[in-house]
Amino acid sequence: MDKKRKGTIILGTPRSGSTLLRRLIDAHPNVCCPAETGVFTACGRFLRQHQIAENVPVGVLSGMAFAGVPETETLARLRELAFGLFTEVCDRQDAERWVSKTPHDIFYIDEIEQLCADHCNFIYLVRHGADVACSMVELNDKLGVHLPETHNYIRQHSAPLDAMAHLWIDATKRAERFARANSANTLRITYEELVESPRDTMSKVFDLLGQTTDGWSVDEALSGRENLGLGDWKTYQKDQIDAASVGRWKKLSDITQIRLAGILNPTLRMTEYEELPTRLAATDPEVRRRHEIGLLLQSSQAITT
Amino acid sequence: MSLNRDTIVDFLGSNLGVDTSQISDETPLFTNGNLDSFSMVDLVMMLETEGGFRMTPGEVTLDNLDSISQILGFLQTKLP
Repeated sequence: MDKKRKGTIILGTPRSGSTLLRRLIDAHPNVCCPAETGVFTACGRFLRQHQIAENVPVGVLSGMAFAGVPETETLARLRELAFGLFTEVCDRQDAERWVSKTPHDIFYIDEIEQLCADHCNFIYLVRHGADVACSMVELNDKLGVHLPETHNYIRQHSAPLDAMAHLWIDATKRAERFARANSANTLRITYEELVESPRDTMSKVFDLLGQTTDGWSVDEALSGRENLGLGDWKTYQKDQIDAASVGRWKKLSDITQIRLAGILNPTLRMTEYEELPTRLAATDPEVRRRHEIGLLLQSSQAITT
Repeated sequence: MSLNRDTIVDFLGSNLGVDTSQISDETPLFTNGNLDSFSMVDLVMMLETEGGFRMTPGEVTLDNLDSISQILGFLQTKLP
């Protein structure tokens, strides 16, 4: 990895622990990792193209190319703007390196790859898909709105958990492809290892950033309340790393787990995560109770299947 | 998890796919097709698990389960 590159972009779906990661990174004296700026998400939206008849791309890059400005030049100008903004933040904090954290970036990973792949490093943060789905549903409830990038999934899937599971699948497949294609400058870490072994994981992160852990500790990182901003609503409520949310999907009902298994398991297998159960445990007393309740419901005159 | 209106609504929405923005506490859950019998089993299991009680055969009826208000009314007879 090119440890001399000044910038790094964190890629991970919402609710994958990126805010915790940013908090830990930002505490390093030589690195700045501001709260969600939306810079690269905006770049992604700026660059996103559509296809019209005969696959003609329509968007800024093709439009400017028709006007005589090569794609490489348009990309260079945009990159200079984006990187310049982060350099500005870096200078204000007297830091050597900047790290960008905006979860929505993952929805524009193809455009970000086109813009930045050879010009900065990446941290790809992945979390168990069922835990992400549970947390995304919780986030939507807390915010009272659905994030724009989730709208299509919500329209297509009646169960919120199913919608967020499909979102995780699509984003993760893209991110896994990105990480393989850019393995030379991408560090892949999991949320689970971050919360269970924070110091070891952060050593790998800081190594990517060309830094040591001198002058940095997990405890000090979590006691800080500086540089707060967008997206910091939950993680900053705590001053300790809490691994209790790992495996939260196991609290879902058996039927829900089995339903999500049909959706998530292929991608969980691809990402080497524990798969959800595909059938109920045969000896579980709960299975017998479920059967008994089913019989009671059927015997109730008002219920017919 | 304590059993109250919020947790029941959350369970209906997150686990059983009910669009809770479109229902009231009086909306029939099963008799108008919002939930099927499999979901009803899920609901009863959740109430028993979280409430720490076991429903008797006579209690597993639509009178106790077909709407949020009916569920809450039933819970008042079971929970301290």
